[in-house]
Amino acid sequence: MSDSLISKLRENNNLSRLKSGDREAFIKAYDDFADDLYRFAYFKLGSEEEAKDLVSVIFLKTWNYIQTNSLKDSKTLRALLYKIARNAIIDHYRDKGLSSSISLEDAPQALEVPDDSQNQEDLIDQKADLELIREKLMLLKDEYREVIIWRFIEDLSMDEIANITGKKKGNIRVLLHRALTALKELLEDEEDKTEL
Amino acid sequence: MLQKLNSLKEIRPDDAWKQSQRDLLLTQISNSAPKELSAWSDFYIVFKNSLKTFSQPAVAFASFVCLLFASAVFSHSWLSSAKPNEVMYQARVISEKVKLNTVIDKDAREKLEVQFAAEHAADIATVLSDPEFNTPANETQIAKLSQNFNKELETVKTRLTTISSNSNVASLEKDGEVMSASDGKEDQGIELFIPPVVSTTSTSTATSTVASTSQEIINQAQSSFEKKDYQKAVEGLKAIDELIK
Repeated sequence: MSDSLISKLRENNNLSRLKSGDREAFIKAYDDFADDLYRFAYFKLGSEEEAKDLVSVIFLKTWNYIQTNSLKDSKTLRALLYKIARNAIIDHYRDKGLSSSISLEDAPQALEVPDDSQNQEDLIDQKADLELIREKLMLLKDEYREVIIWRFIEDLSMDEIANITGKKKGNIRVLLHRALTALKELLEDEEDKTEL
Repeated sequence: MLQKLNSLKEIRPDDAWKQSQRDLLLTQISNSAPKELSAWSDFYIVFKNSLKTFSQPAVAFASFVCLLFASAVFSHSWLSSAKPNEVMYQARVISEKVKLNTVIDKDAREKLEVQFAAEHAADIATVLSDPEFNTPANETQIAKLSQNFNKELETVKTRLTTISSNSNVASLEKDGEVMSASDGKEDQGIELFIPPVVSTTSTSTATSTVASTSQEIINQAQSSFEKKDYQKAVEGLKAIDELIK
């Protein structure tokens, strides 16, 4: 309990400093969340380049939002960043006239997972597994993909996901269950195909 | 599947890109009039957020309980120097009661009660031995303290009797167990239980000796107090304290 309280306190302090226009706090927020937001954008857009472009946009939008708005709705800085990221991705789709589901052709082909401790064979297996799960993740409905990324890749709490989406915790739980079932079915289908 | 999903966490942008974006962003926000926070503003932010975070009901309740417990335990040593004619004496009595309630073992609690009562009596005798306090002007207070002295000694006597009888009962119970176990079973090697019998009996004898010695010292201290030889009474009561410890 104490660890989560202290990290929550740190995050609140950083959010308040950002509100006061502190540059150091902005840098800290960037260092803390740039990877997470890149990953989120990457899985939503399926493109490394677009994800990179969007990360900068998200941080700038967040800075402007914090300077001009009260922060009563956002419980944590992380939740606020994802909320803005989500809207930025929607705007991105709208500008490009794209739908939010990604075709496999659009998705990047190679997945770079740094790991030097394993032998070549294990590394290939691991890459293949990750590639498969990434492929299937991209085939999921947008809202399913979102909750899976937040809960299992970014380790957000149910409260934070509910705060970002504006849905109730119970609804998020149901959504997550359905999303996992859908992903499991896709993976099982793939296994069946391989066996045949 | 969840493990594999978790492994996707390893995907991250390259460090060079991150650094270049960091610098670029910093330049961009510098244009929107940023400022360095003063030490006072920073302190205010930390204070306000700490208050907000730790005022959640569950955290506040847990902190309150911890504070209460810690103050009850640690205030005892601070208050133990309060004398019976001082204002803080009542606080000392209360903190001792709290400390007694935190002791779960019955024997240890009774010993602590004896110790506290002996200390109270010794403190009363010390106060009365002070010629500046023991004057006709404080007659009412002196009478009350003398009455309290007798009460405290009564508590010491009663508790010592209880401790002594508890120890005897425990010893008898142990003896009974061994007797029934060894009844008709000598050929099965149950004699091995003999050493604990000796040790419990000796413990019981030691406790009885302490109790009877203490009773004698208490009687002597009481008679010294009645003869207004407060110094001797204090010495006797301190000896009881040592014996109990």
